[in-house]
Amino acid sequence: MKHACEKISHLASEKLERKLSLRELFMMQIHFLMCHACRQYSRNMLKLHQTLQLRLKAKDNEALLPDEKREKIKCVIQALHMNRG
Amino acid sequence: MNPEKWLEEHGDILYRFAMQRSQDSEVAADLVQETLLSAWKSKDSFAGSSTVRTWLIGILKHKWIDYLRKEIRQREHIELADGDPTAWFDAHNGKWKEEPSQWHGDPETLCQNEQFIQILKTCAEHLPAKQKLVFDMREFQGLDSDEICKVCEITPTNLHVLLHRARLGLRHCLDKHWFGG
Repeated sequence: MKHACEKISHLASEKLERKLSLRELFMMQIHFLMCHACRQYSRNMLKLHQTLQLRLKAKDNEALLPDEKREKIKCVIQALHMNRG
Repeated sequence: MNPEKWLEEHGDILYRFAMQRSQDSEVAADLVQETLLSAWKSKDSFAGSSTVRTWLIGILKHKWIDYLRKEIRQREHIELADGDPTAWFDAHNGKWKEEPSQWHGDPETLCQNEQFIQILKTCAEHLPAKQKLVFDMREFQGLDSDEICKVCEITPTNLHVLLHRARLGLRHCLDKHWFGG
């Protein structure tokens, strides 16, 4: 099959974006039985995705609004209040 | 209804949300400010059906999308069809020209490895512009497909093609520079 691995690698990427149809999943599994390279690629892309998802979650709990920025925003809000009387 | 109180109570949450997306403290603080001002202007539209926090985050999301749209418009128009995915495959038998190598390390360890993240970011820098942009939004900023399509004004099919090409490029770069293929 021409471009078979290209198609399967595309599906491996789409699997991270949407729910694949049963037919698509079946096609992938059959191809994986014969093709170690695509199986490896699919695993790697899942790993990359999971790594970055974990990183996003970890970062979620970190950042705090720095004090000087908070003060600046406060000033802007107070100015706005005064303008409105 | 008091924006100073909002700043006090929700400032950190809003900032964190903006930081996660923009990765830039100046941009993030500006977004928080714009969100609070625009919330104050439209305070009558707050229905009370959601919490103040949810309402503010909703406004911030819109501000972020506006910001991205401006950024995209400022760049040169970027061709959608850049990068040819078939280049990674043999034209005759449809197989990989170079087999992907096995990637060691689990996601829990990799996500804390700053060196790996740096290499990944450098690899992403070298992708064609539009691929880099959507991969960034998807994986570094955590937007979902719908949001990205809306911001970039592309169809899901286009987005999937771009992400697919970005991932092909990244796996090659990471094989070469990190996983030692």
